[in-house]
Amino acid sequence: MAKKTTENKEETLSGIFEERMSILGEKLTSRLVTWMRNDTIFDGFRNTPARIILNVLSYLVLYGGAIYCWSNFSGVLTWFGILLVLLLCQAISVRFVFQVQGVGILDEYHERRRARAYSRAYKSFVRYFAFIAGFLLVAFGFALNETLILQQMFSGFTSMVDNYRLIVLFLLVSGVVAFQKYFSYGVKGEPFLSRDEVKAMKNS
Amino acid sequence: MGRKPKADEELIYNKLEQVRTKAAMTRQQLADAVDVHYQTIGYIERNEYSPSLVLALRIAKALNKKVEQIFSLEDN
Repeated sequence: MAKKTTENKEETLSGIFEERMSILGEKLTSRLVTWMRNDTIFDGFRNTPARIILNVLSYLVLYGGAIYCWSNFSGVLTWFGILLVLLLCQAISVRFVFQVQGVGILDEYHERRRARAYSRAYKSFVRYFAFIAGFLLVAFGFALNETLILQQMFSGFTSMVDNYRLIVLFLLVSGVVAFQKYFSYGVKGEPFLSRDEVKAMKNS
Repeated sequence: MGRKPKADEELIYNKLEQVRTKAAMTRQQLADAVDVHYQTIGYIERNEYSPSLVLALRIAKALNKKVEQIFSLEDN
């Protein structure tokens, strides 16, 4: 009986500890995001030229990195690291509009722009799926009477994809999913202003 | 929404910059009063963004004006 009570107490204590740690984590994330969202240090990420550069870099790293890592697996960690850095830069550049946990969205302008980005991203995914499905359908149609061709295609693909390449493929798909909303957000950023100009604009 | 509205979208004209300047309010002060980012006030003033009815009403209230004194469907 006494042992059970001690166990119960331990469970309660660990539950309280976990809860407090998660609240602390949320608070820290919220403060960090709020700081990165509002501080003028990061204004350089938010203007239109910066967004163009970021998007071009993201495209190049995402698809170029996948092509490179397909044949050189040693670069996969570096590729993954750069992708994470680029994702953070993209998030700073749009003032974390897609980060809603713990921090509310800035205002209705950002809310509407986020909704439009999600809608465009959804349409892009539909297009990707339609393209892939169309390709498979055509391939299947051609091979309908030639099961051998279909078998050869499938076995050719499976022999090409080993475990490492499966990781590259997984990272590419995850990357496309993670980046698509930022691409769909568009390149239009905030006006390109110096710090003095920002001050003047706020106080004008 | 971060760009000039397309021709098929309803454009709302406004005299926000004039009214705000007349009321001796900065963009930041007005933004704080209506709880938006100061850039959003800039987007509205440059006609790059049409505010929601709620925001338009809040802006009018903060500037002690009627909403139609600031926003209109015609470019006057």
